[in-house]
Amino acid sequence: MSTRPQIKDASTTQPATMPAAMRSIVDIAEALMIDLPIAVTKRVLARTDERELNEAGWKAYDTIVKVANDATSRVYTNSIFGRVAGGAMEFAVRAQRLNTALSSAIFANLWPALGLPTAADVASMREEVSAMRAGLADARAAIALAAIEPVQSRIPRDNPRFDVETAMLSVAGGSQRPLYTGLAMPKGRELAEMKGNVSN
Amino acid sequence: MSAISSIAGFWMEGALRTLDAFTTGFGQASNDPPTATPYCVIYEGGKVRLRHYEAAGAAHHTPVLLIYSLIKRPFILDLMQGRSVVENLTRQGFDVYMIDWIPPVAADKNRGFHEYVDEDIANSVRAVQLHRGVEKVSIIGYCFGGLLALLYTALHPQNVKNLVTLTLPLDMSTRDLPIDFMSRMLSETGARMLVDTYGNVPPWMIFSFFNTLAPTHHLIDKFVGAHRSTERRGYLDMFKLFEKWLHSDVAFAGKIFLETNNDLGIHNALMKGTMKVGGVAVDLKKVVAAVMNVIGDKDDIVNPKSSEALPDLIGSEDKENFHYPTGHMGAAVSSDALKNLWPAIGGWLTQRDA
Repeated sequence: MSTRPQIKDASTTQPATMPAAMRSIVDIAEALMIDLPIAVTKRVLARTDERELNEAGWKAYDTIVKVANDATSRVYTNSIFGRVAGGAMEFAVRAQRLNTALSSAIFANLWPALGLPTAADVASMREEVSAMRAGLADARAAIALAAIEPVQSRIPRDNPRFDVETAMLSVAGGSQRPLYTGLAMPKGRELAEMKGNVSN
Repeated sequence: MSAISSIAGFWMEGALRTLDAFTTGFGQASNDPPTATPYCVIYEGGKVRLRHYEAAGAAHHTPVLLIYSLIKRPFILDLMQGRSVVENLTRQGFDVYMIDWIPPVAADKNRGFHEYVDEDIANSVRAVQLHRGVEKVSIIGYCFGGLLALLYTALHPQNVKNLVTLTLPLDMSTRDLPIDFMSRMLSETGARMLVDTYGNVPPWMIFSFFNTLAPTHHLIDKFVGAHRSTERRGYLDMFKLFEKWLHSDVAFAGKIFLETNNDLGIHNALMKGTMKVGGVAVDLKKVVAAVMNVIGDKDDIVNPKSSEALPDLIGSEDKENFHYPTGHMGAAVSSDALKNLWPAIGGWLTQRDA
């Protein structure tokens, strides 16, 4: 049975008006200078099991983490810190832009002289291809949406799995790329039977 | 094995995971873990891949469309069997559709709320209507997805029967939590410069932002936590999947970032009724669907006070704030939420199914 003296809850021993920072220091001191040394001493002298020492160690750890979290929150909720951090971020973005601009200015003439495309050329080419892809995807999406409706109206509602497969094929629009990625699709004979049921 | 070597092992694994994400990329769909619940993709267009998860047994009349945030992969909603929101809903008899957002590329930097709400979500709802043969759908929006769902419901009220918003960022004037201050430290000019420089907000920047919010936790405490919970059954599998999700940040399209930072964050436009999407004013009074607004009382990412104003702003007669003692992600992955919160959401939807 544990004979460790019970340390009163910090909230009962500390005055209610104690500032948060002071309370944090008291909590850490309590954990590191009272709980832990007592547990270590008992482990050495009284040859108790390690459970008590572990508990004291974890209590000290939890207290330190809590104090660190509280301190971080106090810093983040400080408006001066917010202004400084925001300013630092804007400065970093400006520096990045300056770096990009300088690199472009230096290499802009070199690359074409060597017959190589500039980063801007590659980027604009990429954007063009992406825009074409997006246009194509939108067109396919429109076709897919238009295709679901007539299919839906022919399929009885009591067979949702067939609906899924049919709609999926409609979405694929006859392309080589199947859109199915799940695991529960009916296949082979099961699918044939379902289609048979519908046509019957 | 000693505690120190065990914690060091977890820490090293985490450090390598982060290093790998910085070098090979963050939230790529190909890096998603295997799906826990089977699905089919029924529609793909714009930046949407629409998944369909079939109801287990007889389905309720009104299907559910899940809309997740734009800045992380949505597999958190279908993490593993027994820890899956999707599985939970399908077991309650809902036909579930989920938007799997396709990450934006450089050419998508001009995508804003209009493109995501009036095109992508509108097309997804249309696909669900056609696929399921219904006039109206129920929408569940999580975090930023809740904001998108709310905007869609205000702009296209005729298609929405029920709306459930979870951890909805709405009132940006709240000033309690570190994130309230940190997320508003960038001025309008700073945000514009960031977009001019990078096009879209890069995933590494989003990852760093969220890690900076809780440095002690991400640097050491979560690994210590993993060590201390090693003996809990299934904990380590869950920890690894959650870590994978924490590294699944996705680029945030430039225009929608500017609209979020400037219009919503700095000017609090949605609360003030001055928000416009695609040139159309967003009037929240046009939201007439039944609305359940779930607020995580321990949420440190979206201030609970930020969500609370919703019922006062919308036109619905059937509306409520539903407080639940959970954190931001606990609402999706905690066993307690899956046991109590999601059945409550399912029950609420079922009552309004007819």
